[in-house]
Amino acid sequence: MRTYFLNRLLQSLLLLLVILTVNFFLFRVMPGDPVRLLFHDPRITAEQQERLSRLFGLDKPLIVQYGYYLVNTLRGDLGMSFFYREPVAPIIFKRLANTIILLLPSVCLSILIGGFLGSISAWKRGTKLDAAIFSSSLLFWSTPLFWLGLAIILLFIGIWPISGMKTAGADYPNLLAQVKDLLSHMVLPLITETLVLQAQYTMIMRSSLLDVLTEDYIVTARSRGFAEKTVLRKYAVPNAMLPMITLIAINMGLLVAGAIQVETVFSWPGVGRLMYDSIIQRDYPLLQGAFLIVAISVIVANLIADLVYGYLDPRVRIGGAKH
Amino acid sequence: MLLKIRALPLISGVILLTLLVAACGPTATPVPATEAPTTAPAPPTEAPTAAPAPATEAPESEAGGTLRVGWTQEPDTLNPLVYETVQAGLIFREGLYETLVGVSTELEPEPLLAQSWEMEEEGRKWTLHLVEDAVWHDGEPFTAADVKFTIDYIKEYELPGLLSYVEAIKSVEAPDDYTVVIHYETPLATTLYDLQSVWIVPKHIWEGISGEEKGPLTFPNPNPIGTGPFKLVRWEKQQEFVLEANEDYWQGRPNLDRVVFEYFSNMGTMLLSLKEGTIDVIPWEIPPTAVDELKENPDIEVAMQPNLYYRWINFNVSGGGNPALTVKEVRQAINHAIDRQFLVDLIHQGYAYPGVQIIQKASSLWFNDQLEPYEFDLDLARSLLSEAGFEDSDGDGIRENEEGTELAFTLLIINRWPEEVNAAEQIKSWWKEIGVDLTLQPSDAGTILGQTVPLAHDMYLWGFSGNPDPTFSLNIMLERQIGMWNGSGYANPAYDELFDTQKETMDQEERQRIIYEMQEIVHEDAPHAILYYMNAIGAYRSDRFTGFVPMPTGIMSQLNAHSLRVVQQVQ
Repeated sequence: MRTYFLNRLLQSLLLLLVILTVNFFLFRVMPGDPVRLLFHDPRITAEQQERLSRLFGLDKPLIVQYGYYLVNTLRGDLGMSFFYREPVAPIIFKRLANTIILLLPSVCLSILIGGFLGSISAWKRGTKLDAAIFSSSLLFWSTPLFWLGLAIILLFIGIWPISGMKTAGADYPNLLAQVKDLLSHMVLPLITETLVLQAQYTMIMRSSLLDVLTEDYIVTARSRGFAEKTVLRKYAVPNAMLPMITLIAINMGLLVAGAIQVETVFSWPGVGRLMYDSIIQRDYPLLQGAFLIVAISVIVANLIADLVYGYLDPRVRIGGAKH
Repeated sequence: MLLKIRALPLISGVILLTLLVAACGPTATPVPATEAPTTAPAPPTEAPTAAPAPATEAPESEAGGTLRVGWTQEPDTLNPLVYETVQAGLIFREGLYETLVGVSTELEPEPLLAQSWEMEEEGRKWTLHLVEDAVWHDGEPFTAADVKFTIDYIKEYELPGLLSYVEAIKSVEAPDDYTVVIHYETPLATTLYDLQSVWIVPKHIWEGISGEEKGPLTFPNPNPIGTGPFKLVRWEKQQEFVLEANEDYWQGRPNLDRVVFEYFSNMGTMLLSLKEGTIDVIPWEIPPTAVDELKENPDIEVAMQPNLYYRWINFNVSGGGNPALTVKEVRQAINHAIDRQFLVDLIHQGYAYPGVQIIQKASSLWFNDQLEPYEFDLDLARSLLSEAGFEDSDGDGIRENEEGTELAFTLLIINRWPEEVNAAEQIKSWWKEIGVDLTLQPSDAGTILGQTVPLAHDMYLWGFSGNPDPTFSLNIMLERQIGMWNGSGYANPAYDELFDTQKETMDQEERQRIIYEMQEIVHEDAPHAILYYMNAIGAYRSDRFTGFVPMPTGIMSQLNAHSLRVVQQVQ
């Protein structure tokens, strides 16, 4: 197990280095000079532009900038935002936390609902129940998230807050009031995100379980006289969960970037929206930092998924041979 | 292994439960500041249950309350010496800081921190008398030393945003606490206007901000100390921006207790929030398409003010793009082939004005209203093109001249303005009728500037925001601005000479005459097509608040220092 873990860790670190490099060079290649875009006064002289270039380190040769970038990143210094003129790292971490606050419950709920509905659908395959679950999942999966969000806003306006993470300008007498305010702001975005996400997981679980139900050991279990529910609970579902874990881990990366939709509809101050704004503003350091953090999150998520998978499925650890 | 699967339902169940509990509780109402006056403000989150007061009764106003403002773009920084966004400008102007000279509702200079002034030596010496009871937010008194410090400081660090307003100043003296003397090498006609833009900062704080690394260029100024009517409570980026009343403000405490700016990621939910009542005012971002619906709402008042902003198509007359654009008749012809009023009606629901020249219509003193706009006349356009030697000899629908130069242009346009992309499609169809081919190339601002600054483009559609003083708008046509902010390559020595003359002409009437002449010259040469002068469209809950002061650029803006001080609740 330990070699497996070390192996995966090493791979992840290598991947990280590659991402750092691609990250850096990608933004330098984009057209549009950031200094010019930033300072709009018609009377800014060539000297002043040079000064500002120097201040932000944009005048040095590319390879030198790259070197600085690597060293600084390892020290945790992700540079200074062009737009806000403040350190990048704290901005990103705060926004990432906001995104996670919304996405984590959403993912958990979606896994639960999706796993449950998918199981029923597969178990009762061919019935009207299956058809209902299957088609509604397709419906929610294919609905654009921002459209669904707007529809939900129109339905529930006045009942729950439709924008933001907190009531603007509010001062809280205690922590409980603050938490309550946060939770009430979470309701609508959470419903929206979960509706779309659970549909995906339902479909994944359904097909995964259908696959498992054709396996030999299921036939064996049935022929040994176990009740159908026991077969499902002890043999089928646990094995069906394995591909689901992998797929969810792969999904993680898309999730954070895709959060931009729900963050835009509900004005949720998350990292997806931050990335979009930095693109428009050509805020290189901020964008770079955000991409990096997201990439790290994805690598970590996949690493965890691999380890969990390795723990759950002995075949992966030992190296493929079927018992 | 099964334990792991069971943990999920548990977590999810807890989440669901807490959500239900939270959702059933009341939504938090913004708690007013603890220094609230004795009158209790009305709770803002509930929709008004009473019918609005009938028009014949004057609404009773009341001190206190929290005004909630919606915006979709935030300030970039709290540092008034290096900021770039108009949102930051709004915060400084309406609340935190003040300038020596104020902006009147007609955009003219008026007393503010400088209560009176005398001009001597034909403009080379200005003596300003300062207000004597102004204090900084931390209690220190405002004196002439702060003014001298601010101007010297901007010059010392060559701070890009404000340098242009003070670089002509030779020296500043503070002979006593409330007198400032400014010396110029040569007289400057824009002195009072320039001083409208220089935010005065406290010496006792900023003298400690020094050096290149830790100096003003990178100083975020998280606890701004100004002389303005409001103080900063907190700023949670892209969430909330909270101001509170300055009790010791020298013109008297504002009526409001607090102003809260709420950030929205999209216009739709912001408009919904205004209608529903979770915010009270949207100062200027309302799109023309939303106006009619808002007007029908009895609780909402739409406030439309002319803006110093226009949209235009700038041609590359330097020859770096299509050489046909170096021919004046070609440019005039395509100007005649744009029906501006039609575009105003189609794209902006009629809530804009057809554009004429580079000084905005809202700038009432300086706008040359005697210029004849380019009338929409396709026949005239065709004859102008023929005169210039462009005919469609090969029958492909595009005119060319004897050297083979075709009238085929590429228009760079910002893709974040879908309404202008529509306008451009319309223009394309008009130009087709006169034998000009137009290709649209939507892109983003950075990419566009990458082409226009080195003058490698044909034409681009852009926006421009002016100042009360016309120098800023006239600047962009100067030859010396090529490579910087002259995006057309226009170079006319006569124009440049007039520009330098008007800068030193202290007599207002004479200066106006010169500026009128400059507009005539440029209008005739037509290095661009000004499309429309836009309006700043705002809306507010008239059932809750009253007293907004309308002026060009909006009921709240980076030039309007009047509104927030006097806005008050309706009872």
